[in-house]
Amino acid sequence: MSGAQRNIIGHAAANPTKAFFVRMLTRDISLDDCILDLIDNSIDGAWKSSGKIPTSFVRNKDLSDFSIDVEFSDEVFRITDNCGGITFDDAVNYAFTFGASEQHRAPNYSVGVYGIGMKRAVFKIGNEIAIDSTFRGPKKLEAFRVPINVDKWLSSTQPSWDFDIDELEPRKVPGVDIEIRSIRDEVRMTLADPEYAANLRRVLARDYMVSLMRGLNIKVCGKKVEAPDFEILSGVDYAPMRITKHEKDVKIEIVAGMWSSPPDDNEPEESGRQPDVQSGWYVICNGRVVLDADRTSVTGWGRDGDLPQWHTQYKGFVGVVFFSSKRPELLPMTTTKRNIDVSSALYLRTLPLMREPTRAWINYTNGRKNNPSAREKEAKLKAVDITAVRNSAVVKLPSFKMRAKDKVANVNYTVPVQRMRNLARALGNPLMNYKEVGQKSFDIVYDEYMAEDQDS
Amino acid sequence: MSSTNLVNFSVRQNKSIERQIVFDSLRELVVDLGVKELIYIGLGSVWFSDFILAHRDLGIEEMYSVEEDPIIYQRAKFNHPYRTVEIVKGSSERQIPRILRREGVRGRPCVVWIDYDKAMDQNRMEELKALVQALPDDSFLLTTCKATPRDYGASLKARAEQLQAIFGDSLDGEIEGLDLKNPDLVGRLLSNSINNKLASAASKCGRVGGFVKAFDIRYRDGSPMVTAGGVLPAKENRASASLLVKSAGWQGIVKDPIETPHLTAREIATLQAEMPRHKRLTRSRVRELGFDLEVAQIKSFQDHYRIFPRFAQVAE
Repeated sequence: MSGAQRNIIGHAAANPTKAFFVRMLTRDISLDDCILDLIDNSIDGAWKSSGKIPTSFVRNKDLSDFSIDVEFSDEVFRITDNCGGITFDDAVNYAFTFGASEQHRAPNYSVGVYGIGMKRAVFKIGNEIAIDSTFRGPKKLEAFRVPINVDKWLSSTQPSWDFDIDELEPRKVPGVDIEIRSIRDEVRMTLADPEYAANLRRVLARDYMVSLMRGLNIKVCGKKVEAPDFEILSGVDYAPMRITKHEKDVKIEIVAGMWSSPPDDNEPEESGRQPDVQSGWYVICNGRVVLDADRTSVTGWGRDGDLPQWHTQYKGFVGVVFFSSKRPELLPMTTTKRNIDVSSALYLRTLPLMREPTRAWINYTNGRKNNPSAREKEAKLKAVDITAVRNSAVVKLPSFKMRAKDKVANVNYTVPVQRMRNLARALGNPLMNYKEVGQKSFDIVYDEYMAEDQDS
Repeated sequence: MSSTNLVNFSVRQNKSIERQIVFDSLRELVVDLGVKELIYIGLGSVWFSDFILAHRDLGIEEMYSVEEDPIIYQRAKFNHPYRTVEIVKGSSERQIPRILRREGVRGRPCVVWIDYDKAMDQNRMEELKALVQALPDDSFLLTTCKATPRDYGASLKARAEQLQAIFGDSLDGEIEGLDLKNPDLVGRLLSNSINNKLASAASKCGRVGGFVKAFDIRYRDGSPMVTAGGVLPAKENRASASLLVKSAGWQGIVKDPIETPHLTAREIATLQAEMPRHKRLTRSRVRELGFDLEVAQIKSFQDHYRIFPRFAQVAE
């Protein structure tokens, strides 16, 4: 090609279409993540208005003046905040463009980088949209409304894609109200699910734990999302790791350790015990959890043969990587903010730091298998809030000398589930797992028949 | 032991009122939605009271009664009230899905009423969720279960844990601070949670018409019982079904438990002669009439006098 004379004979059309943004991009994102995208904007506004930054785990009231209310039914979805609002200039120049322009710089320590979240979210949810903003003008509060009828906008043959901005009476406090009607069928089915609000609260409690710990108020259908407990066990011979590293404009903080004792057996989770939704790695970018309780190769498990794949034996481990930067484009998150950009050089350089505590935990769970003293030590550990974990270059765990195993007999048999549950109930706890029912019933029968017998 | 051996289902008066409310309400829904060629599936025992109403009030001909107990099965075959009632041997959990897959049944709207005489548990809830997935559009799904608090755990803690295990997020915090010793509150919690669970199952399996709650009835002859359920409308019927069950005259959602007293024929006739009336019949008025009842009993009678059953012993 080099040096050859170019002879342009035409132009291949490469312009985007409205339908691409409305029908295609919305397929790549779940309803949960759409709602989270809208909340991200509110939280970015709250941090900006507060003058504080989300760079570490702290419990205080930095964001306690800010609230975000999410309400929905099968007919309407609404999100309201008092987090500062979108200014008129921002609305005109970038908030409604599809994708952030080269000139636009995302706000410091925000998570809204790509300029797609709000549009993709509202398009996904419904057809009739009203986005109202009240903001502080030079002299007083001002407001505007951007009404969007998606079907009309799609069918319009006007070359401009712009949305109208209507005059609006300002509210008493600056903030954004988004109301969406004509809910799309697939979204309506989810919003009509009576379990969805509780599930969403759980997702928000986890993904916004950093902001909630700082006092942010979020409600879903009138019920508050509580800041979660996030505790790591500590005591004699046990201490979590906490390290901080800086890479140019990015601060990386890693906290890792033990949140609960590992299981004493490898019984599958389906067998009646509570599922483990907590163990694994969490990755946080500017205060937003983008990966939670991860046990995949993304966070090192089973990666390149370096560490084994996740196994229930490793339950009880928790690790958090907290990236923060005033330049959010440097952070290793995807556009949905639901995963890691695994090609990010920053993230690849962070993985070896995560490997050390993971390896220490694997060794510990291997060693404790035949060391009853481990259970005794674990029983004495105290839970420490993640905000109070002290700096330590490594995770501290006892090492055990392997000893010869006592001879044991494994019992494995099959009974109808209902009979097993009936027996659990009769033994005093209907939620007992199968192993516990088996162990307890064995002990009862053993005591009855072998009262005089020695355990030999 | 099956409760068939303990209770004559046809003479429980509050059960009888509940059953009549269910079929009156179903008739309204069936007419409103224009549902044709319905099939009835239930647990008819040897009495078939619901099957008789299904035929009489809804005009349903094709009916299936599922019976697990081998002796009751033989008795049910002997006692079936119409030739179009087929008695199917086995558990409802196994047999109803099989019935729904039969040639000639598949795709036709059904009324399924799983009228348990036991407490709700995880297995029964799973059975109902599976039916939400399997039933064709414009079908109706109802269930009845016991609401005796002790049946859900001996201690309050065990009770809360058991309800949490059955209903999970469908409780949505409603259990917090609730007096789990109170059968009426437990009954309310159960009917709400069952309906929530069915609605959730409809959403999760992609039913575009969803689940429209239509039944929430608490009643008591001996043990406190609840009946919950609703319609699984086709997408185009959802708005109409929702409108009907939210209308002021909708009978399927009963605010107070049905606890009418056992009355003599003379008492019934005396009270009935005071009806209809827009104001509440007072206890002092009942005393004036020559006898006495509790306020709640008077209210329950007034609420349901039009379908209050009369039983008579015809031989010594």
